[in-house]
Amino acid sequence: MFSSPGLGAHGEHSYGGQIPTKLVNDIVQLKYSSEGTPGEAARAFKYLADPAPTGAHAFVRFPATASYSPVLYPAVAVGIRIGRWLHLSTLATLWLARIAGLCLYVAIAARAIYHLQARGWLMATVAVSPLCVLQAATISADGVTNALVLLAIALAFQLISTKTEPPSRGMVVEAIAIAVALGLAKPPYVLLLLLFIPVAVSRDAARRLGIAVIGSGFAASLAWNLYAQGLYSPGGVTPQVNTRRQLKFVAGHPLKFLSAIVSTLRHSGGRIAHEVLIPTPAWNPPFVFLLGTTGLVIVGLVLSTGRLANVFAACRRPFVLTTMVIGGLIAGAVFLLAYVGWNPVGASQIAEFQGRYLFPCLALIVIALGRGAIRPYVRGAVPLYLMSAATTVGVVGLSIHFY
Amino acid sequence: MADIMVSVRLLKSPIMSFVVLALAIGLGAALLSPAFTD
Repeated sequence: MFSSPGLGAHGEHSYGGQIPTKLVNDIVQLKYSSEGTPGEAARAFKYLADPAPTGAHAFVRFPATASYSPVLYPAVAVGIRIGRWLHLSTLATLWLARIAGLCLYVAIAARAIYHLQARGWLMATVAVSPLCVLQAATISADGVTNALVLLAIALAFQLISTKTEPPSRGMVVEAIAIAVALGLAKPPYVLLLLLFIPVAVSRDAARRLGIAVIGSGFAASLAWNLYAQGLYSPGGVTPQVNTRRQLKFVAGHPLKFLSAIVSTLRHSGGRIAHEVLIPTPAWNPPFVFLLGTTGLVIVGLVLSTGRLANVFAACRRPFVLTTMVIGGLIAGAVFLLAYVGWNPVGASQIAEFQGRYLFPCLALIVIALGRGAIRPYVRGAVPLYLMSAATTVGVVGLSIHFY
Repeated sequence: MADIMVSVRLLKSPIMSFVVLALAIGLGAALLSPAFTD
């Protein structure tokens, strides 16, 4: 949808798109007048009334994201189309795209809250966390991916608790549509569909739907990955990257791969944890704001999931245990993708690993614990308000840092 | 007064509370945070 083959600046074959030259220049100008230069972000606003970016087109490379499917970008594409139609400036068009992406995230996450009725407040608390809201308000593949992850978790848990009843036609259509969308979203989160296994292997009325959800999601993922294999190229990393040789290396030396994960967590664990809260390394709010955000997130989650003894008791339940195993599998797959996708063969650490990749695993575990916990400290809206306060502190901290 | 009561009742639902809070905070992030793309 957005990418096509072309020739890069040095004549090499690459993937990207034909984009007005002025649009590219505008984005570079906006980026350098704000991001990365604390105290200077307000300079970007002077470009708000600029003329619309028109004129000659040039080929721009974006090979690292060219392999993502169009299912991740419908809202931002509509926002950009409206901006172009109204002849708005680049900054105004980016704002429209960001707001459209945010609205789609909120709509999908609201549906997830609806499906997880008994723990709706918990799902709302996770969905309003700083990482989710900040990614959703940015032009990125992560906002929609996170929303689909939350909806898939909610649908799986709802289907598990109602599997003895025949599913309605609406439920069948929605579950299969979400499975296909998750299969087309960022890999490897299609693994979340393993949550439907208890339904698929049961003798209950929803069994066929469970099988159809798993089958359609994995089929969509396989089909897209086969198509996209030729599109992906790890732009900007060292030439020693070779995905096939790296896969062979992992198969031959699984312990070295495990040691690379441990070494990455030992050296960059703090940064990765920071990025689960505030998603991009370049976004550094002042320390006091980071501390405030972290504290509020932890208090919100603890209140939602309950006493530690309850958490341990919940972990012994087969349902929570299975969910944790699936969460661990997804975390392993995320590390594997990063190791194989853009790290030199046999690297001793996983470079460029960002904490936000682990959000789906954490969301899954927190929601499963909340569902399995016997007595959370607080039911209802309090954890949601605390998490909203955490996100607000994060946004204010980022703004103060850059303005 | 009736309007306030309706608003309070809406905020007792997790969906409405989430929609209001996420849109308000997200709008602030979309308009103020300088990172346009990741």
